[in-house]
Amino acid sequence: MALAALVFAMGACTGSTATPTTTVTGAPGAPTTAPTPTPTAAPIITLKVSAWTWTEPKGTAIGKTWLDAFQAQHPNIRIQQVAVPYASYDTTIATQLGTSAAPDVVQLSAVGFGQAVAGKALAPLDSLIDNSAFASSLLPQNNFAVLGGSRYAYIWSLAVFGMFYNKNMLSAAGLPVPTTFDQFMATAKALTDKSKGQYGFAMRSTLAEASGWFPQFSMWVLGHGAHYTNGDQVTINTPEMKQAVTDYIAMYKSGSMLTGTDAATYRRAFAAGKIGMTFDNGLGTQMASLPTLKDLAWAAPTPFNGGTQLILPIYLGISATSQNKEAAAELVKFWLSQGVQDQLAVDLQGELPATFNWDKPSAAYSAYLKTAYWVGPLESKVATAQPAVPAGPLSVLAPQIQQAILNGLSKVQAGQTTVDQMLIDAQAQVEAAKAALPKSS
Amino acid sequence: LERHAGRSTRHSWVPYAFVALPAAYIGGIQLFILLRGFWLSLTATNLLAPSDSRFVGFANFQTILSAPPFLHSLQMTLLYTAGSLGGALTLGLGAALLLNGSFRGRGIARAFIAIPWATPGVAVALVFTWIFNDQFGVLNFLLTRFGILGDYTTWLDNPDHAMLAVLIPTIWQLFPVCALVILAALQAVSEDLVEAARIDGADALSVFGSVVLPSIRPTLATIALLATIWSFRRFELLWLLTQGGPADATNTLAIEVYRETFQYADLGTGAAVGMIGLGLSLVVTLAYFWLMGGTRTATEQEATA
Repeated sequence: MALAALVFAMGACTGSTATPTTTVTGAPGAPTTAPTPTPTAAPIITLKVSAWTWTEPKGTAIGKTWLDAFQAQHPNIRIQQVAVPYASYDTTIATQLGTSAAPDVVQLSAVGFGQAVAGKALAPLDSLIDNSAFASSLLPQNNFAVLGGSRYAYIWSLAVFGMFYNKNMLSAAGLPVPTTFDQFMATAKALTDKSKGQYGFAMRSTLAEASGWFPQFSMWVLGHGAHYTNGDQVTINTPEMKQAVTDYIAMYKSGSMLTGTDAATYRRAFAAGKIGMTFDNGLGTQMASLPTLKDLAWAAPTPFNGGTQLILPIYLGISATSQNKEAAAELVKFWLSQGVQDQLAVDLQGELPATFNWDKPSAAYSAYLKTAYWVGPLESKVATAQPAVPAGPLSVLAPQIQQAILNGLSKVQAGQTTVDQMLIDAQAQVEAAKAALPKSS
Repeated sequence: LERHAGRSTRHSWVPYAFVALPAAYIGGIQLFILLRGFWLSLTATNLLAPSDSRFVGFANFQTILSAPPFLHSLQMTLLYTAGSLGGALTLGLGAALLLNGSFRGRGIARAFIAIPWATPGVAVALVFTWIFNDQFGVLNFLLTRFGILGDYTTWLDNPDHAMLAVLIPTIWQLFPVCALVILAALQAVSEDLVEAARIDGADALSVFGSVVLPSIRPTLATIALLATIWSFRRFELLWLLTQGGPADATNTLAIEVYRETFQYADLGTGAAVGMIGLGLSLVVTLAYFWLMGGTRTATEQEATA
């Protein structure tokens, strides 16, 4: 409360100067060209802004920095942060969107975004935000949020997935970093020594961690040139998908992969030097804070013959029921301003914000890359990277696709069905879900 | 007499006042929610756009009742309920009989047996996830050490083992309450009757079958009813251990309601699945009252004879 009062007071002082442009006090990074501060006599508007990242230490710090800076510039707007843990975020927000209790500005997962658009719970932003002001620097993935000709969100962040490997283990075995699936299998086998509890590869493979398993498996899918959907077509049962599943199962059953283990466990094993390679994005965040991990680990694109890399987009949108859409749009515009975005590129630690200038990154980002050496190899692939379920009219089916794919994988892992039958079943299940969609979706 | 009658008339509102509060609760909250849920089950309603609800009659019921995944889910619910009920009642009865005997430390044993019941479901799930872990779990370690398994196996991720794997913690958590309730009933069994049976030459099994079991049957029926309904709606343990998988091997109706409602954002179908679950619970409850009515009638006839 005291902090809020202080920020409010700072904003009021800033407002009284009435200068046309303002260098944000305590704001991140470079000077920011900001709107003229609103007179303090204006009625106070409270904006509810929800995010799961505010339940995590990194996200809390980032949120405080830019929200404080925003409030300093907009003394008539108070921000009420709604922090919901990731595990229950989608369901919690889904029950609020479409009602008057919805937050004004919402962070959304890829799944949540698709469902929110289908449920008409997000406001089209075209009339609220002049996209041309940011268009030159927006990353192409922002177009994932344009559906039916309308923009419903901007990118909050892009988490880039890749392969992390223990450089000491590869070096000791005299092996290069694998770039093809055959090399990957051979490397995993060479690094496995079960008598020492050492495995060549690890990733999630259990339904108890379905929300993490699905994107990790999707790295195999994209790496093999397969896609779950293409436009309005379900494309699960394809030769590329069959190869992706076949290769994954070959690794799963090879004895070189640590199976049935949750992410926390295999990441600890990786940090303890017991895992040769893993697919991940969260490990990058841990590397930023664990010196031992930084000494041990390196990053590379996934070893699938140069196939597409996976990114996990997180969106920022405005609720359709918000009574404060103009103020909410001001907040989104502030989020997209260059100073905030430049600082976010550093603070997000391995994730990218909505805008990024590849040709001329900020000085802070260039300095950051020298210490965060693992970021470069992964982010260099962002331009062509894709989400697990392609953006488009069928992105609303992401939960059904995940369910069909992981159920099928469980059966194949247990030897209860073949890859061919799994793909036939999954295709049929998602086709049935597609047929049940309302015509407007 | 008139004075008494007048007092009786004046105070006649008292029983109604006592009844009013629960009646208001049931009518105002429970009944409203039930009716609202039933109405939802007759509509096509998106979780994110509840105001765009559309009446579809019994289409949701027709769709799910004709869908193999739902019928499989129903089977899994019955299997899970039967397994947890059978396991918990058998273990609970055995534990209650043991605790009803006299031995040193009986008081401590009675206190300790309640621990699983008092443990939060989330904590139970986390602990058992580790116990069942493929590579580092103590279960695989012990089973291979004692030669029961040749090699480590997957428990939670194998459709053949998953139901057993979720039943073990379920029974572990449920049997203490069965044991304690049955123990209370055992302590109310007439010692005179037991003694008389023994004098007549009955062995321990006959005493249990002819004297103890009839005495505790109403208690067994009650705890069976409660355990059945509890198993029908059990969610957090299953969700945390398997999320209804693998390959829907542990996908009960409670999981299906959650999936339809919150993952697929289909409020109407989720409500329809919930209504079917409610119907099953009602069938079990009615069967219980029917059985209890029959038992009471038989007992009364025996007493009259």
